[in-house]
Amino acid sequence: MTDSQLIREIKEGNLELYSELMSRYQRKILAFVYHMLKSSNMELLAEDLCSETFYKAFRSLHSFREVDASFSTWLYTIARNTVLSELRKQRSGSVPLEESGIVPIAPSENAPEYAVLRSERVMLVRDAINNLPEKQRSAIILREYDQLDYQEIANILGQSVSSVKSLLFRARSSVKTQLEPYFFEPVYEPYEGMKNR
Amino acid sequence: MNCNEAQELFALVWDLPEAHPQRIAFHAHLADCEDCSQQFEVWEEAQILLHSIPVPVTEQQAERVNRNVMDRIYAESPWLLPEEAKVNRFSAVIRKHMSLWIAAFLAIFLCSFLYMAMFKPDVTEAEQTSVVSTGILETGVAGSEPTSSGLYKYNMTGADRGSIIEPFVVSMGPAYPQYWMALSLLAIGMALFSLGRMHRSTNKRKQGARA
Ligand SMILES: [Zn+2]
Repeated sequence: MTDSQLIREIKEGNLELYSELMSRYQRKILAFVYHMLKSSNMELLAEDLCSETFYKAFRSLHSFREVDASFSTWLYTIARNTVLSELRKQRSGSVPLEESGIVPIAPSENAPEYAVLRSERVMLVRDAINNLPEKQRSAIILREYDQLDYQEIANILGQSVSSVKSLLFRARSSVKTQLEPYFFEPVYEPYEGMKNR
Repeated sequence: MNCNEAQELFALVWDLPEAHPQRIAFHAHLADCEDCSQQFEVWEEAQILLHSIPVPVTEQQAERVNRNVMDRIYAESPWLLPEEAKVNRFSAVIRKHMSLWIAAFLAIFLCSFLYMAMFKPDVTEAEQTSVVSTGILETGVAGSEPTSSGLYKYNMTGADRGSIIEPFVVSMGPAYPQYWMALSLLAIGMALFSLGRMHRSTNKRKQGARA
């Protein structure tokens, strides 16, 4: 059964099928919400906000038009809005130091330039993404983790395809810039992943 | 492709399809250009690390979200709770009863048919021919001869022959096999109809559950 068939049945009153529809996207949306919240150390809210997303989607299922967007794109849009409004709510209470924009990672003492462990490097990338402004962050998460194409990302962010391209370009450049201090020295042993590419 | 062009592609080259001419040209340039390929290593490293950030979501979490949302939906509209199990059990019982009823009515139909077949010769020869030849039943007139009472009149008792009451009504009393035949046919028809409806709705439900 396709998404649209499922949605038609749900609209006709077969509510239990919504569980089925959710199960197709719950992991993706949960991961997306998690990545979006991570930058504010609010990832504990991921489950709640994901539930909120699916609940909102259910409440406004009648207004969903497949011609405008696919169901998953629509879901991502709702998820992003839900996360953003939650972040706004939290921020109005206490303003964190890095409001937005790029805060370069200061190389710490326990991270000597050339010998950063791989797992530590992953953390650095994680931080680099968290430091991105929201739109760049959304764009790169949707592109890298959810493998959406430019058009879908454009729909979710309400931007044109070309601005999505430039968002992605700036996001990746920024990640690279932030990581450069750790990577630019000669690599002693080549990484398998790189050789295979 | 020159170095500038190549570097402009650094951040976007992964989004191009494998066989894209720009991507091929890009990798061709990297193979020749030491500078660019060194720089691109940083990009690639970042990209690889980006992908190795573990997805922090467990199946249990996803399930919890699912249950949570469904609970909320049902809490809001309890009358929409899925009662599939209940309905299925219910309809199984009904179905069993229905088939019993159908069998019973079928038996009644057969009995009355046999009864009628056995007593059919009682219908007078004259009545039969008159009905067959004209195809029209004559209207019953008070006090008229029994020939006007049509096909449904038999020489059972003779008491009602020629009475003032409309002959059709009179002859369709419970004492006549046709009465039982019509009744049982009607009952079988209704039972089949409701069975069919039930079957269709259950099928629809099952289809939904399967997909
Ligand atoms: Zn070059």
